[in-house]
Amino acid sequence: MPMAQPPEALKDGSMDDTGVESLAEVQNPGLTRRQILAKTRLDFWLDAFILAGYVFAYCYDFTGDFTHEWLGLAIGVAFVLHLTLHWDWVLRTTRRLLRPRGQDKLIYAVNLALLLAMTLCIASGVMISRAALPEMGVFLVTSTFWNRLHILTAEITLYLVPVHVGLRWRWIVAVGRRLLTRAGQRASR
Amino acid sequence: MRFWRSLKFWRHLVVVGFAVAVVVALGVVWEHSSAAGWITPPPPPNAGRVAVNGRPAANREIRLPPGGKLPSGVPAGTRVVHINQSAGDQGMWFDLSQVGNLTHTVEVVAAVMAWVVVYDVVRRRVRKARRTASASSPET
Repeated sequence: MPMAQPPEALKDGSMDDTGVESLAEVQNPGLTRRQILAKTRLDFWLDAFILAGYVFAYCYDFTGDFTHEWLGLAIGVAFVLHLTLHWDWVLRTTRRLLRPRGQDKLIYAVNLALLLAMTLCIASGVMISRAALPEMGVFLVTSTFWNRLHILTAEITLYLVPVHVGLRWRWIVAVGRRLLTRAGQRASR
Repeated sequence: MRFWRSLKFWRHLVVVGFAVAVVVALGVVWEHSSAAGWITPPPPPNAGRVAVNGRPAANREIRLPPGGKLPSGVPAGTRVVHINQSAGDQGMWFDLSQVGNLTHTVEVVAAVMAWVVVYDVVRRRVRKARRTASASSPET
């Protein structure tokens, strides 16, 4: 079975991710082309779900308690999965940060802030749950601190999510073109 | 090969779970530290609150659905909030009268994203121009 080779330009771990599967190739050099495409597709749709889901969940007045909380829990699961799929990037970039002229410091800082904000947002949301957790028979003793923390971290996350997405726009455009247009789908077969 | 790849996934999942747990633990530590006052306003004086372990217990609350029983181990002084499902407190469907809220959020997200993309494009062009200029300049 043919194995996909990591592109030369990315062997040093640089983050020029304009190639559709280049990141996946670097992260998983043993994968076949079909597996890389499947992983890229999963990455793309998972990220799209997190972005759209977060925008919806943020509009609490629009969604109501029930949708807001269950959507928040689903985003929590997707967020953990997203982090797991990109853990190789975290390790690689953390190692590169030690270099004096390490790249991606801005992206790393944004991602770290997003990890803290989103985790605390979801955790505080669980703590102040009025619909999802009581429905599962779980009642948590909470305080105004978690309420305030939920609002604060939700606001911070609202600005960090588009920054996180915007910094990866080239990858998104490249993958989106391939997945959403017929010509792109034919080319990836 | 597939076995090792899936093992790697599960190993990463455990590490991510641990990282998330650490962040949540930091949040709990924050709640119990004096720094909690950064985001929680101080309680008004003489609010008639009963202090439990040196902290005003009235800050704590537990939310119960209709017919829900108070679980054991709840600290004394905890406020019990009964969720009223029938009064629309637990809305299940989208409130279309609040669609402006959603539109405003989409606008904010789109504006921030557009700003970042423009910044990235300009930054890349400047870098490319600088590289081209240094490559074409004669050596001294």
